[in-house]
Amino acid sequence: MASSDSDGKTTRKTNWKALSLFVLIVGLIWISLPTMLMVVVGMPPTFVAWIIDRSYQKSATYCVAGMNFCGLFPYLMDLWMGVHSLKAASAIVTDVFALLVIYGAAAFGWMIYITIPPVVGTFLTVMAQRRVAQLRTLQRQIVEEWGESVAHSVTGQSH
Amino acid sequence: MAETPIESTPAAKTSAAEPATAATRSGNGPVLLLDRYQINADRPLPELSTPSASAFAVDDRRDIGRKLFALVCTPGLPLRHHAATALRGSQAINLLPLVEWGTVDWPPLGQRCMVVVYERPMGGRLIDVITTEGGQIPDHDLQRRVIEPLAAALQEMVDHGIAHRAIRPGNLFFMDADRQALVLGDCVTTPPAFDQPVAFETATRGMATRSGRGEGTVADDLYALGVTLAFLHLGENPVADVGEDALLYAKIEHGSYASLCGGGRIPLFLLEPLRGLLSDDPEERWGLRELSLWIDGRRMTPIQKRPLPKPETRFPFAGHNHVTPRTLAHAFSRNVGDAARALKEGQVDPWVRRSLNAPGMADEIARVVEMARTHAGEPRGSDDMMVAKVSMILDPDGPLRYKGYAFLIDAFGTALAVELLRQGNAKVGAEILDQNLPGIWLERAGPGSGVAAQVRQFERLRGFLHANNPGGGVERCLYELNPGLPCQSSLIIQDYVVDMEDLLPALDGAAGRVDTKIPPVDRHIAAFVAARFDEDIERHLRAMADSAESRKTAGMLSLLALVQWRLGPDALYGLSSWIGGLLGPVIASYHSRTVRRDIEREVPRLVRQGSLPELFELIDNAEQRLQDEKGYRAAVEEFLLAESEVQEIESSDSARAESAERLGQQTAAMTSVVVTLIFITIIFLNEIW
Repeated sequence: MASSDSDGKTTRKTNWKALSLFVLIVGLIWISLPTMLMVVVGMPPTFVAWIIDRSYQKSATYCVAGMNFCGLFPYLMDLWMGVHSLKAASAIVTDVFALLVIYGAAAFGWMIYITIPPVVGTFLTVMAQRRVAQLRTLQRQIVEEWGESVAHSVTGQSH
Repeated sequence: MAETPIESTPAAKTSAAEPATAATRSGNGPVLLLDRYQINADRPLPELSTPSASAFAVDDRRDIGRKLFALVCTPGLPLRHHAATALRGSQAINLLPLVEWGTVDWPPLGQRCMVVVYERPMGGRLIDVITTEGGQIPDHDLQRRVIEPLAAALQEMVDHGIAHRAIRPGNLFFMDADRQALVLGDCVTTPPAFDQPVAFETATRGMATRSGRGEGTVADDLYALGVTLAFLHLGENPVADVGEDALLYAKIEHGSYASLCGGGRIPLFLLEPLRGLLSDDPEERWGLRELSLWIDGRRMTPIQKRPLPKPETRFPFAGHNHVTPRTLAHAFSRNVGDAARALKEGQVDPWVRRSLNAPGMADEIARVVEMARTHAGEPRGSDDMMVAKVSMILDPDGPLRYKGYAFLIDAFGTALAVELLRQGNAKVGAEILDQNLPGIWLERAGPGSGVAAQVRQFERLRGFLHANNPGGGVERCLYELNPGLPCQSSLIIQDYVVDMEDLLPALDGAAGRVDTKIPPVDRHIAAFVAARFDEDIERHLRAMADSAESRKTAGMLSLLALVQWRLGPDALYGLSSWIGGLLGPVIASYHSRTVRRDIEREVPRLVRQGSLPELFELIDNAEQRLQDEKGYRAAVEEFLLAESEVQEIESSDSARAESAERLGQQTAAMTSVVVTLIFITIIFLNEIW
């Protein structure tokens, strides 16, 4: 982003976040290229979710990322515990079954994201209705003991 | 006016409330006064009756041979309470001995009545002796047989601090069969001078109505004695054919002596006392001292009548050519419409100004007429009010006259009571007070020893009149002014309740015969208690005036409970039951249904005990009421909180949906992260082990 100093000259501010990410990725590629290959091939659903999730909390991203990583992690463990080479990584990422598992897990993450909110909403509504019923019962008991005037006084106040 | 008020008592009207018990209605059997005096309703003694009270034979259970009779008073007519109290048991000579007085259930009227028991005069009534037996007292015996005993009787009355006010030939009796001991008859069964013919009253008091003649003094008794002497000397009523108004006019214009004795020959020895006793000037009139001196033989020059100044012209009005403003005042009060016309047309002014030579009086009259014109259409500008004020100006010493009322200022109470007896209400009396006519009359009377006290009393009465709450109004004035008047409430009028001690037993009895849906304390009873009960009951009366039925009933119960607590009796089963049935609004004033149920369960038990204080304590317990109020306030608050929470829940559906979605998304994210962590951990551990 450009900004103006007191002399009127334009200076360019350093984007430390992007630079750090770049250094990290370069570092990871240099340290563990096979792992990075599997991540790059296995995690696109998470990247897509991150792109399309415009919410502040990024819940969809977390959902998809978690499940996506669950699908990828067993293969990463095979890589890390077996021969840690580009060849082994290539074999995994070219295995349709492995990709199906990884992307299927990501899809499961989307499913969780879609199905859980309505369930929670329904639960909260039921809870609210139950509370209303409790309060109405309490009000009935109050009126039975103290008379209609109790309700009238509330009506009067509301007016 | 009914000749015998006893025939037109309110008993018939008020028995609409309900008739008396069967026992009191059935037959005319004897009734007992104070468990001693047996009054025989089936043995009337018309020869001893008075115009307002019927006489009946009485047997004394403790003294069988004693000859007594009882006068049964007209219900509603106020008894001269203080006079009866003073004369009871008194051994006054030459007064008919008053043995006892009290109330009894009187079968012929089906209600309680006041009866006064006297020693029976064995020689009969003087006037009967004269008319039927020709036993006229010779002139030379008048002093010994009439004047001396009656002078002694009047001295006795003076010693008791009361005036007799009923001296006339028809009220003189011989105590002994030999007809030597003459006594003055009853003077307590009616208001002062109520039964006196106009001839026996001074012109001033004669112009008042029968109930408005006032307590009077011994001077009025001496005047009546003079008239009685004249009648006895002449052997007949010399003015029997003269109308009341004509007699009054004659007394004022020619003097009492000339009016009553002018046509007869008066012996020389009687001339002196008659002129002295019949003097129209109270200052000149003989007192007891002068009469005693005369009896002792000291002769004085007879008082000569000073002729009234004759006006240049007479004022013709209502069939009489008036020569004095006093007679005109009287005539005006009898013909208000004509009087108002004459005043407004200015007919009176020239006569007063020129003929009477009283410009001051004429100016005052002109001011009153002008004020009436200014306030036309208002009560204070009415013809009645204008004529009343003009009458005061024309006759400052005369009675206060307004709408048929004509009373001396000290007789307002009895005038009110008699109006109530006859009309069933006291509207005109209330108007008189409301318009402050007594205050105007007293202002004209000027400063005097008793005037300030009377002004204060009437101010107090006006305060009562304007207090519209129970315990006030014209009813309160009635009982304040008439200590001997029984409570006029339709609920207990037949019980003749004069004393506070008798009120609750009377109400207890009434519970069995009246409609118990109406409250047992009406305006009359409240005013009666306020006037006769020596306790501060303002708080109770204020509660009774409350618009809320519950407060009203609680106030009524608290008042009656206080009376029972102070005066007894211990148990009032009928009244408790009556009030118990009216407690619905009071019980309903508690908010808590539980408290209401508890009270409703307790009420029958306390009703069976007949205790009003306990009943009151139950329904108006301060601690209980405080707890109820606190509980109610807490309940209102709790209800309000619940309502606001419900409103909040119901009004936040969309917000809750948003919130639920956000929470669901977070839950999904958390679920995903947690599942991931668990899964990674399991896989990792599986690989390691």
